[in-house]
Amino acid sequence: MKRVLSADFFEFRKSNLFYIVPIIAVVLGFILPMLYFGLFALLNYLSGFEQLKNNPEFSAALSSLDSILTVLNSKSVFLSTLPMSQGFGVVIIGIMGFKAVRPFGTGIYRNKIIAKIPRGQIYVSESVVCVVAAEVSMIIYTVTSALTSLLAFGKMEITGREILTVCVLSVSVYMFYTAVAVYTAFFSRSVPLTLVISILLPVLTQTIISFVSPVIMSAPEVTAYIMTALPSFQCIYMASANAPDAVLIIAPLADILWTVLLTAAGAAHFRKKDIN
Amino acid sequence: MAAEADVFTEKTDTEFLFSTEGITKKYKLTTANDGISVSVPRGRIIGFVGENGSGKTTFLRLLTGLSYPTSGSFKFHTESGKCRIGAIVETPAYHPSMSAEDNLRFQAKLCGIDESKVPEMLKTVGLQDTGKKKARFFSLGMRQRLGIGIALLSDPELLILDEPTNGLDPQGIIELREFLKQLCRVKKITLMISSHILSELSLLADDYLFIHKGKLVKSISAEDLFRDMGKQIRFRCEEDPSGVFPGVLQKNGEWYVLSGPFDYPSLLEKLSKLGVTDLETGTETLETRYMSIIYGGERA
Repeated sequence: MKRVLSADFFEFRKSNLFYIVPIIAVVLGFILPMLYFGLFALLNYLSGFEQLKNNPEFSAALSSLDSILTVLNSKSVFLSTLPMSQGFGVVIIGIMGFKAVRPFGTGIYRNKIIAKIPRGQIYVSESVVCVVAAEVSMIIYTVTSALTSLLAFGKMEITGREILTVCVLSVSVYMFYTAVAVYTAFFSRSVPLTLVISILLPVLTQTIISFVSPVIMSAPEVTAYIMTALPSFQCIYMASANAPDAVLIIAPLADILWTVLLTAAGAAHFRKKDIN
Repeated sequence: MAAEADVFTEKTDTEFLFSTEGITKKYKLTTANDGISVSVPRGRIIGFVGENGSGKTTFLRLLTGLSYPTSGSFKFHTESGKCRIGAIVETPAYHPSMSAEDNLRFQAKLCGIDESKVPEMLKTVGLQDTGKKKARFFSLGMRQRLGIGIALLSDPELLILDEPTNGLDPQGIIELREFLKQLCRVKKITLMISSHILSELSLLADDYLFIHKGKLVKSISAEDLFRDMGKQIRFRCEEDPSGVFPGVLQKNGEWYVLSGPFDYPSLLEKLSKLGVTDLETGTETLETRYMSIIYGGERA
């Protein structure tokens, strides 16, 4: 296993993705908060028009602009860039799916099998490299986003507890969705299908969860804890950086369990199938 | 056609590298390999011959562990019962965004081989001057050599090359052939090479396995094969010659083909009675021999 991991990390270090992924993380980590900053500047500019405020037709709209302006600060902007469905998450999961499926085309998995590397090890090693790459790039993105939000909007009032919540949930959710992307890659062996599923799955599940979350939140506490086992639901806590203690334990444990199950299922499937 | 055959039946078990027993691979609608049983001798160059879709690549996939047989088994006659295999199946596998050196270093790490072997292997396959050039910018010949370098790095006992001359120019084909001959001579590895370019294969192989519609139809040493290949006479005539040459005549369009050896006085007498309009003589080629084996009803 050590040999395969060493070879796979070497391969990743030598590949273009090693440079492309951090660049994307930095660029998106900068652009997304700056878009909010642009919106903030525009709203600020509009709210400065006294004539519009005195006009009854516009006053209602401007008062809602004021309320938006009050919530737009470095912390809210930073947190709003974190969920998986917000730009970077789906991009990096798509890239990791591509990274996992590409060796079917280049024949690298074929070479590994011919070199008598057990198929289970091939699958696990690829998963580990993808998860590590996704986590590292997520950290780069998060730090860039935090710094940009700080520079654009000024002081960020965030507690250690909130940072811990963001860190725990981000690491755990990225791990799960990367495992999904790797599973899809090995199951489908198709680049387009892997990209579509890797990108759409986080977006769709989070959209559905965002619709049902108000109902869940108002349901008995136990229901919310059960739902915490779903990575898409964890993104809601991630966006608010506010989660009960139990969530910080249940969420990573659930995601580790999902990831292990997915990896075991993927490796078992890969072991059985013929390779072209 | 017989499905069971040995390349050298007089050899002992230790002289064989591997044997297969009734290897069968079925897909939903087709049977790609149908009960192939063969023993392959060590240190020889085996030409694996068959038309497109005859089941050559499927057999090589099964041998390398890329696919699983529906039934049957492989047995490697080594101490461990395992065999170090290097292979290029269909196309050479490499990282397009990595240099030749990095591709070999990757393979060395994967196989747990000392990376100090990499420069030597680059030299062996003639890619020592490629520097940091990425493999995606290599010519077809260079890619083929890189694939062979990757396959050879683990010091294989069995090297499998599936259609290695595909896409190569004449110069590349000659270079590859000379390289493989030298390789087998120096390293004493068993080379299994599949191709449907028989003229090319005839310059390389020591033994031949003929496969047709998933079945092994003949296994023969090059020596025996070429000894059998004799003179041929092609002719066109006014009369139907099948009565004069019962069971030995092949038809190729308007031409009739007779394979030697001949009793010339008797032959000429028979031909003169048929009203022959055109007559050509020549030596049987591997292609005609192949056609005769596959379609001519010859048995293993």
